Amino acid sequence: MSAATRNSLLLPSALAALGTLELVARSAVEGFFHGLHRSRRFGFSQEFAEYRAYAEGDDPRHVDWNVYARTDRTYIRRYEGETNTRLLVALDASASMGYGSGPVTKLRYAQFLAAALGYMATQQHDPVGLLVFDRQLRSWLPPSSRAGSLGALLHALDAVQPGESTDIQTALQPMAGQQGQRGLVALISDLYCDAEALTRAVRPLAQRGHDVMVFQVLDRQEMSPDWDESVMLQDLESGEQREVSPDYLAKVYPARLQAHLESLRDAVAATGAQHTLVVTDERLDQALRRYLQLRQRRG
Amino acid sequence: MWLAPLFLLGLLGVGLPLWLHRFARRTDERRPFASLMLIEAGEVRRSRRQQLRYWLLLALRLALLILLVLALAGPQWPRKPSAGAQADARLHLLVLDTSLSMQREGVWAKAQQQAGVILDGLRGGDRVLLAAADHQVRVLQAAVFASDAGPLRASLRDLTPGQSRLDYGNLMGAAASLSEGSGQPVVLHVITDLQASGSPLHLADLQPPQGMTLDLIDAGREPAANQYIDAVQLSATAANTVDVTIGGDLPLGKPRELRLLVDGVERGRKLLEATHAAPYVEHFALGQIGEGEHRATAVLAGGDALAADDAGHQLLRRVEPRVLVVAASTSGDDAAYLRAALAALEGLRLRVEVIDTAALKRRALNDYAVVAVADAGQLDAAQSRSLQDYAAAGGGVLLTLGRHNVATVPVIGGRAAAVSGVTAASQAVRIAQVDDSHPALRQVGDWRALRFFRHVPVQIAEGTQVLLRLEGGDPLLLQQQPGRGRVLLLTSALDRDWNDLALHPQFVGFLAEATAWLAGERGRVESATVGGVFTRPLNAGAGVQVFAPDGRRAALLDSGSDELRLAPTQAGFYELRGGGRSQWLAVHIDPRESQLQRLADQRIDEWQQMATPAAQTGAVTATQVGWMPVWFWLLLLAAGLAFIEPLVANSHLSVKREHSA
Repeated sequence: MSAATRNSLLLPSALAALGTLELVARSAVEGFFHGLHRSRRFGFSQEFAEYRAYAEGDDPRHVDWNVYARTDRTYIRRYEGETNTRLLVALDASASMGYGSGPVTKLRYAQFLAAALGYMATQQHDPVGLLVFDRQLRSWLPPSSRAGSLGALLHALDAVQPGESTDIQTALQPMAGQQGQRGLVALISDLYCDAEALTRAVRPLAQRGHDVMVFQVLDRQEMSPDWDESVMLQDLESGEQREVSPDYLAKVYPARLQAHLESLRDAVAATGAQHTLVVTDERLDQALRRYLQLRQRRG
Repeated sequence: MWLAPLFLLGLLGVGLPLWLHRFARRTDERRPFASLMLIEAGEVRRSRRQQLRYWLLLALRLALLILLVLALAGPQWPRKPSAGAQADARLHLLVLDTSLSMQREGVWAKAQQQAGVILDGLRGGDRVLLAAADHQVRVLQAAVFASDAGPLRASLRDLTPGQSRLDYGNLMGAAASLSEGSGQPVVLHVITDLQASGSPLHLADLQPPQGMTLDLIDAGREPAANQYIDAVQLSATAANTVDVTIGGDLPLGKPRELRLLVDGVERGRKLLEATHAAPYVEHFALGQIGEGEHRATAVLAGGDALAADDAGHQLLRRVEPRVLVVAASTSGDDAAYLRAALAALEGLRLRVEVIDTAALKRRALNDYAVVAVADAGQLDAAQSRSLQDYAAAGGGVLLTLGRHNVATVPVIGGRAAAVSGVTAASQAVRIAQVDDSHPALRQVGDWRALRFFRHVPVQIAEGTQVLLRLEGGDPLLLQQQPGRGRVLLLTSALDRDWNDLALHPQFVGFLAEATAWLAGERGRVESATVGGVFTRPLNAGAGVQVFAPDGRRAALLDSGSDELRLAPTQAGFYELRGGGRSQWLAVHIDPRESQLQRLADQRIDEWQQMATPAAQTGAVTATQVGWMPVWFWLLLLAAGLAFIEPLVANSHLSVKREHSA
């Protein structure tokens, strides 16, 4: 596969043409790593590091049966470069995520991103879980590094359809209350909520030691609307209609969007999390790079 | 109220701006959007302002179009009279007598001054209409409010009396139409000299229209003597003499000179004595008068009360009718009898020409007053049709039947049987029935003395009248008047073997009367009266132009016209040009206008008492309201909108342009 072909596979439009999410994930990740020139810094090591007590959810293949035979206790082997970082993908499946002016809706793009993240995590033997929400928790797949967990993840992702309105705080509240291993949380949403609500949703996660990555997914038409005439816009979540003039869309809306994005960045930064804005007509590189940076920092 | 309501169809054009704006096209177009969280509610108001500009632009364009259409349709706005004058507003019909008698010195100026007084006395809510009355009633200015009477006063100043006659009965009949639909009390002001001769025969004809108040204003002067030329004509008793009849009274102590002009040349002059009583006829012996038409004008010199009637006009026609005799042989009995008899008629001064039947085709029949055909059975179909056309155009035709048997009688139609005859003189048939009321038979002696041995029994055609009938009932003399002409048919020949007509003195007398009657239409002199209607049939395809005595063209009829109808307004000679020749028509003044006697006071009182004025309502009806044209203001408003429209359009479109940039 040529470099150009690999790079082109990172484009959402190209990924959309692929049949399954698994293929999408593998293509995106391989294309991404090809662009990184396989730096050792980001490589994986299989050199033994230590034993760790087996915990529920660990892959039984990593259990050192010799140690078990000697000690009658189950330990799993850990290797150099492996941090056993759990990755939880929190995917916003509200109705607004169903919007898309191009070939890929925001939700589909988010699915691509979640699949790619899951694939990368699986390659490092990290447990990967999935949480799908809109105004409430819609589905929950606990992090797991077992064989077939990636397939389950991709299957669950593929089944996601746009739902109702968004309530991040309510949807993430159960997860914040859970006592478990710290890890990475990738929140993928268009973040049509105010900054305070986002803060209230993310802060508990950060306080429990999670590294939170917030991927805000927007459509190009949301970033810079392109209508020559007054249009009657209909909110996908509430059904409300408002007529908007080109004058407003050209002058006022961009300023209000920018202010909204700034407030979200500030709110996310205040919790120690990372905010990344991705647009559905852009490649997945930036989002994957952000994940690797955090992964390495923890690692 | 609209002057040109058909222009209102242009309102259909409002569909154009509606289509251009694609009416409400965006109201149905809804686009889904992720969230309206960042679209503030205030944007709705801004969008409404934008929409308002859009609707304002559309409304401006619609209004501009509608205003233009309305302006073209000529709307008129009702305008009510001033409030204080509405209660007793009236319609005043101001009618001025413009007949000839109003030309009497001082009368017309007095009439105009009286009309001015009436106009000055009108109140603001009153309306006034100006009309002139002579042989017809003409509206010079339609009803306007007294405050707008400026144009009406100008018309009054320009008005002058004419030469025709006013009949008060006709005026009363026409007055009703002047006030039709006014719906308010009407006052009819008639400013006239109250001439007695203007009164109709019956007093009832003076009845003013129902609901109309009559205001008779006497503009005349005290009665005065007036002479006028009553008639100018060729003398019936003396050859080459013109008789001029003078009517009226000779002014005391003022002998007047009478001159006669023929074709513009003075041919005689006489002094009228004061002792002559009217009517007085003065004879002018002119010597030899050339053949043809001559324009004769008699003029009374020296003024009297009315100078306009001191001239009289007439055409003098001296003609020698040409008679064409057509026979099988120019030396036959019938041709000889006819030529001899016609030549003997000295009084008619006929010019007789005898030709054989074959030569008939080469003759222009219209040059002859009468065509006499002996033994008409010899005519072929084309010759018969030619004579029919000639008769229809005014010619006279005398036919006899003879040896040539025909199934159909030439020229007049009807079936002809075989010759009916007797062998012995004692068996001759005599005339049994005579219509002696006919001009051709009136002066002839005893018809029953004549004997007829042969004749052609004829079954008469439609439109044919039998003047003489033989014993046994067969027609002997028939007449028919096809078109403007006249035809006589004798069913026996002018031959001694057929009858003894030519041997009796009745023959010449009959021929003289018959020829005079047959030529009558062509020998008549026509004249007309000012204000009357003169009619004359026109030859098809000729057309005619009529020029008045002052040289102005009075009428123009194209070649498709078949009749000239002319209402002369001037005395003198009208010239009728058409068909390659020029003819004259003498027009004289109606002598009744020259009689200046005033109506008796009693008659005037009776006339005024016949009026039945309507009760004063005091209310202003819709029909009292005048109409003010408003198209100018609409056009002005449209111009203003046309100025504003680009500004609004620019404002509306600027957002799009900025955004596109």
